[in-house]
Amino acid sequence: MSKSLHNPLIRRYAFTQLRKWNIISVLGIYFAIMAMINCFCILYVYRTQGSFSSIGDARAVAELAIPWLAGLSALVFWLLASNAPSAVLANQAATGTQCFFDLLPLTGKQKAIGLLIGTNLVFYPLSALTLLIAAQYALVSGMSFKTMLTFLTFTVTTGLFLNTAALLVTTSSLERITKLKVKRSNNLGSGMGLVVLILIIGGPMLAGAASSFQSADKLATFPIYFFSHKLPLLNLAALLLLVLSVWCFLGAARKLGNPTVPVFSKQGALLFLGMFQTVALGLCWNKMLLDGISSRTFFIVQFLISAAMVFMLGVGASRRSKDIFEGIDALSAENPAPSQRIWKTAVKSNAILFALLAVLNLAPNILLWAWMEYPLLKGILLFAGFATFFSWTALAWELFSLFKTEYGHKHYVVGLAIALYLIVPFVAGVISNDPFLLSLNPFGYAFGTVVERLSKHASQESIAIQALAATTLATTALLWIVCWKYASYWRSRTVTTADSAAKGRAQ
Amino acid sequence: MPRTVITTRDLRKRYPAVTAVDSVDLIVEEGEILGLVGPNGAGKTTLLKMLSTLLEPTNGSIEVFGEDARVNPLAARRAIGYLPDFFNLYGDLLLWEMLHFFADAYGAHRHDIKRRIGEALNYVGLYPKRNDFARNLSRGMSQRLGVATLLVRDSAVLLLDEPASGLDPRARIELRKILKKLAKEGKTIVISSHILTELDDFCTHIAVMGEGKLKLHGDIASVHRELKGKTVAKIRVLDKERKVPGIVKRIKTAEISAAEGKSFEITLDGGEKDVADLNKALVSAGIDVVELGEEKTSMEDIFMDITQEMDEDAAEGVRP
Repeated sequence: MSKSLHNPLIRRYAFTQLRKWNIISVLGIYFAIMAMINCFCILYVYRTQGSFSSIGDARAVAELAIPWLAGLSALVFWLLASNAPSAVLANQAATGTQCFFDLLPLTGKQKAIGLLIGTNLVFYPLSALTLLIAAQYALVSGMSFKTMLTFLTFTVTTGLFLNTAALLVTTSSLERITKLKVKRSNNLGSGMGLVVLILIIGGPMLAGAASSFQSADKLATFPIYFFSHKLPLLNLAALLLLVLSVWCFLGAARKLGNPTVPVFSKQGALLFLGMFQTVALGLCWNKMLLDGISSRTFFIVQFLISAAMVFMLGVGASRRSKDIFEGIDALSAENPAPSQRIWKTAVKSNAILFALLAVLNLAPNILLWAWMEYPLLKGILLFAGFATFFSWTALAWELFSLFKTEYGHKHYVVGLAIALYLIVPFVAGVISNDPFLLSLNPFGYAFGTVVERLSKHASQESIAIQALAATTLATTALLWIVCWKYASYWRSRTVTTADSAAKGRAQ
Repeated sequence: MPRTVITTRDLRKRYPAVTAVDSVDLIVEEGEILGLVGPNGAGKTTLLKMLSTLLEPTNGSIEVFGEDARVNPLAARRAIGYLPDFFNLYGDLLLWEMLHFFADAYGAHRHDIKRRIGEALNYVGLYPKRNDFARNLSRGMSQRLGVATLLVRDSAVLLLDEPASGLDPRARIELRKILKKLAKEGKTIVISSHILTELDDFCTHIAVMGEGKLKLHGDIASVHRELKGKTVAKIRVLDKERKVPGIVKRIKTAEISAAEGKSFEITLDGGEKDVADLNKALVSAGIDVVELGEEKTSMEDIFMDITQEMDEDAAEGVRP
């Protein structure tokens, strides 16, 4: 650890970050905002109460200022600090200084720490200062020390997660940025990603914290079960965010150490998916126990099958994508007619897997009901819908890539059509509560079949269905990300090859 | 005996449709100035990128000072300084800050860094600009600063990919002076360039690449002999020039290819030994030899010879 902190990158960024005018301007803006917040709160209390003298007034000011301070620390620690290393990496890739960075005789972990700390030499102390002031205000407002500490821990772990996640996202897209040589695209990409993340994670939290400030103690101690342990929700969330931060950091360090490898090794991907499944199961476990032994057994079967599926499909997809995309390149070199190329590629693609799964999906209507009593078969059939969804997305991705290779910009039209097909019927179905509309796209189809079969054959309570749907949804999202990463990795390699081939031909 | 700095065995970089580098076996020894030449798309840049560990080979091995660079890339990076063909330096840093960063990152002791920065900046003639931002430098100055970043880290071997490309004649001459100086000081340098006259003055060895393969490799004289199978000697005598053709005729492996007054160009089948024999024969015949030397083959000659051979091979390959 000390070796990682003895870091030339931190010293390199100290040169630029700690320039006199940089510090003066940042501190000037920061203290102006801080003064404005305090003035606003004091004036507000003074206007509403007509005086400002008692301890109660100071408490009112503190209560009023806390959401603002939370917002300010979120801005600095979550948004600016997350964007700083991404902006530096994007700038390196766009301006052609990337190779000097890649060739530094530093380990991936040293580079990741150097980037995170070095580019935030101003933002991290500012975040710490804001959080300390917010903590003081919280104590003045009457919040218990334990509650304050819970919120503080949660804010810090969320920040760590966002910082490391942003670094991971940027390192994963570096190859693409280097090829595009467009500085803005990455900033936009990482910035947009962060905005989405903050909206999803931070927005409700901030709004909740602001509106339910009176019941902050209640929120901090709100209990949740993890397996059979009862834990405060915020503490558990902080713990999970910390674990995810470690994963993101390791992934980013791996990419920074060697930009050509995927984010996860196969063992790492398996371990991550296993951890994710364990967390998902841990969150559902207690309810299942209450629902009786049959539910528990069912969930264990579900867990094992989904883990196996995730592994097989995830790892299988990486091989498939490689074969397919290398196939496209080889076919392009052979130069058959475009229609022939598409046909040849389609034969080798996920279409076969998709067809098999579609048949499997129809199985409950063909097989004898007696067969359905076997738990394993039941489990497999249950996941056929989910797997169909996966294979459909894989197919969509292939289609998109094929168009990209063959027809230039027309692939955007295909991408748009796919996105519309994914989103519109699903949203319309949910809004109008129309099962037919829902089943018109793979989302609706997959989840519709899962829910339907569960309710029909497993005859479990609604909680079981909800929990299973939640686990499946989370697993699907994760699987999608893993597959997308693998696929983009192989695609970028193929594009590089195609580029060199084109370059060679041109020369 | 010079140490071996870089050794590659069966080094390949293969893509599905293209083999960029194909089975390259290369040895670079300490103090060698290796000129890497070849037509566009020959695989020179790919080879340099693999040697610098920037690009992972498909297969084969790279050893830097006997250490496997694929297993321990960090050690290789400490030993090798690579300057790509097109690069930008950190524009947000002052010149001395940038060199400080490179020296620091490559393990220089903190008490030694200041001295190294001063020396490197003086070496490339940029000391007066040490407090300027790198973004304000001209292309030629940036190239010199690039060389300074290699010097400050004290890399044992320098890999320079087309260092003179895009430079105006003045900047090119300045850069050549620096490279010549480095060569004289015994630095190991691998340099690729299209401007072959740039390499002529100071390269001790040449490696010619074509279609990803290493076509020829060795010191310049031996490569030329391998190509031509002959040595060209130039002599100038003080007097008795009429006797020279008769003496040359007596040496079976020699013939006069050009004569002008008291100067002769003599082609010999063998190498340096034959040149020495020729000298002995002339002196024993009582001819005063004023000047005798092996004609230096230019990089351009070698390059043209090899690419001509490659073109002929390719033409034969397409014949029915």
